[in-house]
Amino acid sequence: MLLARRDPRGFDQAYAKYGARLFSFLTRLVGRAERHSAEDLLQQTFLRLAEHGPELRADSDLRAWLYTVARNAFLGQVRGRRLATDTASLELVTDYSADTEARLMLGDVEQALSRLRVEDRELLLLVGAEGLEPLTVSRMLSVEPATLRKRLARARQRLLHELERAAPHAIKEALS
Amino acid sequence: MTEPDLVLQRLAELPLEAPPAELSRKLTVAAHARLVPLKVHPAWSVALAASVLTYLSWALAYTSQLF
Repeated sequence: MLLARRDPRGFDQAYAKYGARLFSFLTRLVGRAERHSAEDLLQQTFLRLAEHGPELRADSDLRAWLYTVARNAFLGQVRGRRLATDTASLELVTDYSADTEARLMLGDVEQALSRLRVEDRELLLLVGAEGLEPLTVSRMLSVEPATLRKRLARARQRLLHELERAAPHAIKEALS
Repeated sequence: MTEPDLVLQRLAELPLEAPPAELSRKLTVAAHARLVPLKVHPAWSVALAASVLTYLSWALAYTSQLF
């Protein structure tokens, strides 16, 4: 592993492979109106990789490690701002509704996702959008796999509900 | 359980968002700087060794004057 030898090419490889994925995850997690926060969080995550990457074991799951660091950075930021995450999400949704350009940029799914509670959004993004194994996510979130499955099922239902509420006919057609 | 799987499928189809090129550039430069330890000029090592030896010599001379 190049990173273990403090070779910058190891960092470049990791950034090329996961940079855009993590940025997509963070942008959707914080909300598009807070894109600059997603940029800060991406920086924090990858600078942490530069600092601690050489200490990672060869058999470490780098992808899971990066998502865990990104998630912790996000939670730290939310705590730092002393914002209730649900309130923050709702405020962002209000912004979206008022912003025609942003609304045009967002797909139905992404808009519906932004209306969910941050816990549901995070779970759906990790498993659905990022394709992480539920078992990996259960370790990341320190919850039992069975609990995670239940939470995921509930989050799916809430997303579906939001999609139906936004465009009932289109969603039924798309999912039929 | 067909519906929820399709929901996850829709999520998986969300497009990738590339970070701004300027951010990537700055981030890469900062990360490389943290990965590669600063190279210290050999003269600094000699200076450090000389200052240690000077201090030890002074400490020895000072202590020997006490007895």
